[in-house]
Amino acid sequence: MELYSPEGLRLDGRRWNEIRNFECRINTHPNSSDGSSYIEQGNTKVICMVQGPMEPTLRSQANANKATIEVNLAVANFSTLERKKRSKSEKRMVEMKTTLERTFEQSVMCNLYPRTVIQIDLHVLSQDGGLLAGLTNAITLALIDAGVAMYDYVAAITAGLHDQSPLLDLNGLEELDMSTLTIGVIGKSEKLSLLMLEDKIPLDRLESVLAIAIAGSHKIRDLMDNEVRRHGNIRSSKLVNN
Amino acid sequence: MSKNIEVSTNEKTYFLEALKSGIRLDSRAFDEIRQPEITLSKKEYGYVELDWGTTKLAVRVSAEIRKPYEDRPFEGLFMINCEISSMSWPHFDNQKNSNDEVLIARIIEKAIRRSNSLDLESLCIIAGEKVWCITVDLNFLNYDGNFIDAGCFGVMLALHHFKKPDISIVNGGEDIIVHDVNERQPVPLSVLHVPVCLTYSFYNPGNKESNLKGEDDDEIYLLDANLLEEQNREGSIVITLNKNRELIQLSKNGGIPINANVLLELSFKSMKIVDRLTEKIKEVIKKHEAERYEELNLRLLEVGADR
Amino acid sequence: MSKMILSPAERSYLYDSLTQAPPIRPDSRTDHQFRPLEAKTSFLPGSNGSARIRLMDGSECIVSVKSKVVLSALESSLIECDIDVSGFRDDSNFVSNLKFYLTNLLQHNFPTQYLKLTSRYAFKLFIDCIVISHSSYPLSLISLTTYLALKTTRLPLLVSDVNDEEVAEQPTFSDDWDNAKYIGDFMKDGEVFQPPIFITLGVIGPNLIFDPSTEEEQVLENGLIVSFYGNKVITPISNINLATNSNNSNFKGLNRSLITKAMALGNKYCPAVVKALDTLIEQDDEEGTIF
Repeated sequence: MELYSPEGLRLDGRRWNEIRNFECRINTHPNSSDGSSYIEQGNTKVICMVQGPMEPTLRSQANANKATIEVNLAVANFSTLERKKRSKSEKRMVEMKTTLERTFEQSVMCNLYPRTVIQIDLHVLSQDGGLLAGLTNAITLALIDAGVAMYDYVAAITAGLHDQSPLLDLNGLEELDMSTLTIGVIGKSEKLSLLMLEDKIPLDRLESVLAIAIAGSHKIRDLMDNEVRRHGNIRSSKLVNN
Repeated sequence: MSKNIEVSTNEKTYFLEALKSGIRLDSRAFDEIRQPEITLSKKEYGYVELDWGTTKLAVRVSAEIRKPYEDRPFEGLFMINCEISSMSWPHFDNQKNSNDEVLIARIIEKAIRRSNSLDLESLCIIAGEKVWCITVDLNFLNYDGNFIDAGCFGVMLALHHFKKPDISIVNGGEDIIVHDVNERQPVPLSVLHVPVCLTYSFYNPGNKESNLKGEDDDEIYLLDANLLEEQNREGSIVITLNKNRELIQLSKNGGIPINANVLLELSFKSMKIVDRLTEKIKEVIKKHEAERYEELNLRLLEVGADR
Repeated sequence: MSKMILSPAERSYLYDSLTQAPPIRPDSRTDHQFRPLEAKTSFLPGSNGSARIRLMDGSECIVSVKSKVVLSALESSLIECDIDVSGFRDDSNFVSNLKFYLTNLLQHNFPTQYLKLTSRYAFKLFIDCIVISHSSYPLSLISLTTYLALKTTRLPLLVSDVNDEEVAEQPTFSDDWDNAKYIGDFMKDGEVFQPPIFITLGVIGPNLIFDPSTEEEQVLENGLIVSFYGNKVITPISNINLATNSNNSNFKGLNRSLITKAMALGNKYCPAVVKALDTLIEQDDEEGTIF
């Protein structure tokens, strides 16, 4: 199997700096949540629902200075090609959940919502690489839909290194075979709020991988922004008509 | 970790003001790590105590013979157990698996196990039947910040220090004899590379909003934060490298964002420290080996003299 | 999940309206009417069958059916169900009960003979349900979604020999997904593939109301779960307090004549429910995303 052909084509026909099909929707669950989103990043599909800011059920969750963010991550048994029963207390899941909570604690203006909890429920329907990135994008959109104050978008994407050439937005097969860097970028800046690299890459190649990842996440930010604006226009046109 | 551990406002302000004028309370430079003090056990192989400033930990490596996983018949087993009890700091929950503990354990595990630091194929005895299972028990004894760097360093030291008993295969592969360490010289593990974790903590002296928007970048980065510094930090990043200039892990679990340029700068700057720490492991182990050998020789000579 | 708590006055008002003949329901439904639902099928390309149902109150359930080729001698059952309810632990009583109901119903009332591939191999179906949110007791929602998912489940076409008694070979399948067949396609003429479903009935005074909503559940005197398969009501029929985790003070014993009545009503109205579901599948032919 050739991940990257000499002609510069990848398994799914993309070039090195192309992202996969990115579809996103906000306000998908208006009746069951305060904010919701659905994203498809290639074949990775995530539903996200936000409840709150609301009064916490447990006293211990109330912080007098800022909102507490609680992430619940449910990965469906059927999300991978081979069906697998998953436990929510798996270390990898706990790590991902904690990472997301801590990332959004900084990007949300938590100080505006003291003594409340913002509950984020994630459902992964299908995974094909870039799970952490997909989850991050879904949360960003759902928080915007919920009207929670944030400093800026957090747009996330993966990038990997194949031999010498960096590849953007890896799919599941590519992710198995290369070291993958996941980054979350704040808005249009070069500020990284989330970083995760789990396999070796030569230090001197880091810059090139980071560069395409940042460019990719700016693209994702624009796509998310389009959707938010599209939805905003629909809402405001309804306001005018009534 | 329990969250009711708050530093008083006075202490916090004092600490941050000091940082702004370029001073760390323990008079280290911003990119200076605490000097590790290493105690290697002379009686047994694979027991190491490490004092990283006042962060203290004990590592024990043990080996047993087991059946390999069915899908990996040629590979030995390697496990790292990370034990954080409230003994090290009263505010660690005694109940298992709080989020911080999972994070610390995962980062150390990814740095060492996932990066194939230990050659698992060399642990194979009979393919599909018997392999060595190497277990590392990492116990944190006292907490003064930076469990990750200290833990990773401690485990790597212990893996270098450890020797597994020699074996011979008899009866055409049906039986194996495990030789006592006094009978035959035990065999060291084959360590392929030495990952070194370095944790940087960041502090933002200015306005939070303009920092997040990237308008000002005057964050302060401290290497190897101690407890007080950790409690006051606004974000951190773990960079794992080895001396072959390979980046093994980057892990930033939230906190204030870091500028891409700063990340590159920090990673490159870290190489010097990585080289030094790797060298330190080699040096200490070499010295220790020499001492042990000397003792051994002395005994042999005594036996000779008796005759 | 907002658990609506009714005030004593509201409870009393609701109770009185529901005990009228015919009952007056807050959303102006008749006694045998279901709440309107919105469905989508075959949206998970990685699963053999998938379906999603949403109700207007935001309740939502997603079901996936995945198949796996197994040696039939090694399996106790060719159907396995798993349910995940958002906000509930997997080992909670609530989830375990739902799982037991569904597994029990499907294992006993399913034409498993059509899952047999060869004399030794068979398809095993893994049915995974996720309840993303729910307000009323979700069993009927889960079972209706499962119905849709099973009806749209496609299994790859076997191309190797059916008789493998003598030759020890693994079954092989057609590579072309267009050749895949619905479970119903395996059936003989005159037979229709119609997976079993559950419906919930609320008992209040002399009345039985279909598909009670959350508010109605709070004042019910009892609840019935009725199973329907092969165009008639079958066992198990069980009673349950549908308003879980609430102190419904109206709850009391069940008059047995109401069970007979429930069976009669089930026989009368369930065929229409099944038909409505089949129509939903026919209408839903767009491929692609769910939202």
